Amino acid sequence: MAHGNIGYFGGEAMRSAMPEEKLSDHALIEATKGGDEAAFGEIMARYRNPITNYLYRFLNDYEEAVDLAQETFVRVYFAIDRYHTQFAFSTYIYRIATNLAISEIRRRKRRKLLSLTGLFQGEDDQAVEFQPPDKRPLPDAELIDGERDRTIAAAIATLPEKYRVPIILRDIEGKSYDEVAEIMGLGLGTTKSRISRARGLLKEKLLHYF
Amino acid sequence: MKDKQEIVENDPVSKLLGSLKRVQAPGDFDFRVKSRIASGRPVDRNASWLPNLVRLALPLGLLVMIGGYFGYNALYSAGNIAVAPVAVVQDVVPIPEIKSTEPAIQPANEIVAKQVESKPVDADNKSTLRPNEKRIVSSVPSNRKPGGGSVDIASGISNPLRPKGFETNRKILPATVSAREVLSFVGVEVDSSWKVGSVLPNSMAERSGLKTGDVIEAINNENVADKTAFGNKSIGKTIRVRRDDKSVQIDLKP
Repeated sequence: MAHGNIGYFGGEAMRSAMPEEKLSDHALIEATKGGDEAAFGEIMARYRNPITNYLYRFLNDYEEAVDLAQETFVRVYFAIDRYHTQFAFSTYIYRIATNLAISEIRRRKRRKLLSLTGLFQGEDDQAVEFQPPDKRPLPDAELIDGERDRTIAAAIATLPEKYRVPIILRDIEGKSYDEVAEIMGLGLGTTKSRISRARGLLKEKLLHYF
Repeated sequence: MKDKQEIVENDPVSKLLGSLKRVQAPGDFDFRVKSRIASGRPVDRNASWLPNLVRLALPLGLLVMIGGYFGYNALYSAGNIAVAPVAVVQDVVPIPEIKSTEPAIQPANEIVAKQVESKPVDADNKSTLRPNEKRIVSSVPSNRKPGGGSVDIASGISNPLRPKGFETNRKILPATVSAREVLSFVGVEVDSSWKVGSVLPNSMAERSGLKTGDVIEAINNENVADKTAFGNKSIGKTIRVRRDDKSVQIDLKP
């Protein structure tokens, strides 16, 4: 933890000279470890919208996405002492969010809520869950108001997890292939292959938009 | 952003996905996160459903057991209790007028049960209940004498409790006693040849003059044998014995 201690004191020194919004993620993490709540607030300010958007595209359910995004930050907070700064924080937090989302999807499958297994059949005989679009009104109705967006969201939701995660990270969240590979814990080649395959599947489902 | 620009330029699917509107976190996002942190620990989303199932199953099982116990008792005890055969729910007709000549209280046996589809209710059937009220009236023919109902019944002679299988109509046959028992009763002990072995002192036999060595021939003029039996109401009036090769009739003295 020598590295962490150095980072912490370094962060302390920087905080005295720089506003928190200009600090790096690692510096904010170290400050949070030292009990600086404002630093953790800055982390939330940086990542709450990307994580919420990512989880929304993953789950196609805004309320659930917000809930899981909050849970992601709670887990980051309670596991902050175990975080190693040799990894990018964005990778770390997206990985936590991804794991929570996958767990949520599997929990849904277990409960078989609105699950019509076998209606769609994915590649490699992997069953794809049919998820009708969430009908509940969003807090901000302007966020998703077009039929096109709903159709695309529903098409993404039908993708198997192994394709859904990389294509959202790459094409919606704008992560690089390396970042996507790191978040998923896969090799670069496999990641590119899955993204390519995911695009192909989406193209088939959204033919009339091309 | 260089990567994203390349994607948007090169792939129509990427362009389509990149054009999706981004959702924002709600305004109270930070507050809710801090509330969760303050509550102590993250939510265990992978918690098994088994504890919840057990939590439900235990009280449910308990309820079923209790219900089953009472249900069983109700079912099997109902067969042993004498219940009035039929109880008819009867519409009660409101009283048009109360005549001063009518008694204020009707005897219980004058409330006549009627079937629902029966004739219009007569005057005897009127009661003091309000219109639209229903009253349960026993349809058991009431041929008891008037006198207050259950108090009289309770204070009357009840059927005695008898063990199961006891037949109350069975005739009690008169008991019979053998000749030896009769002789023993009057104070004589005889051997197998009906010869008197001993006479109990101060017994009926001694007072009547029976002696050791007498051979009993008959009791109440009925010759004795092993199978001879006598009714219990006519034991030992006379005994005939052979004494010194002579038959001697002895009247027993109580």
